[in-house]
Amino acid sequence: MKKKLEPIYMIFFPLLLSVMLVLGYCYKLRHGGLSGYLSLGCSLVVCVLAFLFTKKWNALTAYRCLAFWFALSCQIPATWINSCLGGTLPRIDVISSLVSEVYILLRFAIALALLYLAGTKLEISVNSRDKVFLILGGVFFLAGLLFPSLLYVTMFLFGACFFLLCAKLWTTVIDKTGYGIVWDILLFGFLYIRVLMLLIIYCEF
Amino acid sequence: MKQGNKGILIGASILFLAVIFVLQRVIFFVNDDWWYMTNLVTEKPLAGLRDIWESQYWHYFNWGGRSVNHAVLQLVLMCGELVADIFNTILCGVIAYIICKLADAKEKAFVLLAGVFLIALNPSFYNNMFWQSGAVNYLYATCWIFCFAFLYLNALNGKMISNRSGIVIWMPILGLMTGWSCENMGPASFLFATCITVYLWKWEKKKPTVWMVEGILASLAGCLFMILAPGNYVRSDLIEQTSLVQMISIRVSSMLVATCDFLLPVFVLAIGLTLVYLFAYQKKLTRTQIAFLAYGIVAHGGMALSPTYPSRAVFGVLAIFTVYMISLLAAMAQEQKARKVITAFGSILYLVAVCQMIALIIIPPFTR
Repeated sequence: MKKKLEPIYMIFFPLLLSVMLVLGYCYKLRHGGLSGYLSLGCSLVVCVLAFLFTKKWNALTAYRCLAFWFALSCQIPATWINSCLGGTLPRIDVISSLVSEVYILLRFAIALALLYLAGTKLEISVNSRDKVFLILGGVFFLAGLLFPSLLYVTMFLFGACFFLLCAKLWTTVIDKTGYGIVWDILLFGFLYIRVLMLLIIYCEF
Repeated sequence: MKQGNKGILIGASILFLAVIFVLQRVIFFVNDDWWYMTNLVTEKPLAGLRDIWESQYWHYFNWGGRSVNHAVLQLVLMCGELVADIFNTILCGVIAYIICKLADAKEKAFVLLAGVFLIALNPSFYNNMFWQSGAVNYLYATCWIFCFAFLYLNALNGKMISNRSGIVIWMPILGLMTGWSCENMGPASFLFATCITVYLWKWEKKKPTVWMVEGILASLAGCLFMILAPGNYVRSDLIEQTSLVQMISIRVSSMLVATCDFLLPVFVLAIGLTLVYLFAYQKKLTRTQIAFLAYGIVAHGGMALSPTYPSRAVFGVLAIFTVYMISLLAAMAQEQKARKVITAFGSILYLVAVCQMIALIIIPPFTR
């Protein structure tokens, strides 16, 4: 079954990167600069981290990580791009930052809660490396609250920690349930609807 | 539930309602509230029911079809800010309770969780729960819509109410109010009631009772009164001067934004919970859950017919999906390990909701 599905998965990954490249280009056309490409570069770094993190050199986990990021993060690509450039868009006041950070936290909380909820039933244990990423994510989140001037950078690092964790747990859940394609189609389906929205709304197609 | 946990739950619930009430007090009558506080014909302050009647008559033919909601709004506005704030706070509790009744979640903790969902997952809770015009149009209306849905849901679950209990007298009023509430929730509720009645009749061979038919006809009449209101067309002529292609493009965009932005956390959570419920817990969706899933999808899809889909309008869809999600969580919470995760998740969401409200208390959107 897995062998048969591999070609389908292999389409997802380049497609995802192409979409990001298009978004980066659209953003460049609209706002100038290389920020869109920088966001692509950063996402590739996270991709490599996902390879290393899972110790499996598993492409699936890597692009699931990206899929989570794209599907759940707020105001992409603006947030990504700002995180790469250290925040060049007009600053928002501290209370707004707090509210938006809390709202970002909500999305991570949802993703992790779902994966842990599945994990309790499937008896997936959380190892020490997972806990390190969880704590690191929490530290970056708190740093964002305490030092609003570093908001975009800390949010980027916070996202990297949590989405790596999400991708790893997601892969484990899929392995255990054996319904990989169903879970992935939903994740990627959702992701592409979101990307469609971005193309229409943010890039003004 | 342990004694200590019960104490924490009661304390957390009181704190939650207290923060809601303080925020209600901070947010005063503003924008449309001032317009609806007057007789819309004479432009003088409302003095009684006659003024409301005159206003709604004019409103129906010149501005929009939500006559029931706006009549209730004018009644509440006449009572003053303090009474309105008390009503709003009580109804925040009432809707959380009704959601748990619909979801058949018997534990008290789920009432708090439902309330938390309505704030934490709501992209515009200020506009649909705290601003008076929004609160009546969405929070209040959803309460009576859910009362209507509850009767049909009971029938679906075999708890049929007999015609002798007086329901035949008040069901037409409730049905009419339901259909005549919001542009998406009214028709979706009519379809919800119709599908359940037809299902019981055709598949379970249970003949529809008088109140079930009355409810369906009254909600249909309410929908027609609302959608065909001449005021809708007067207003759309003023606002929507666009070509067909532009109109379709605008509606596709607004649906995408609502799905992928306003309702993103709700949909991610609902889809994720469904996957976990079906594949990890190996459980099957009940008829109630399927009915609410369909109800939510229809209510959301119905907005495609509306010229705009503002973030405040997601309240009804959010409330329906909250019923669905609470129902799934209640079923999963029967296992001890899952309870711990749900408690941890609920606690984070509680903090999210309280932080969001406190942020608005510190810096309110409007100052006197």
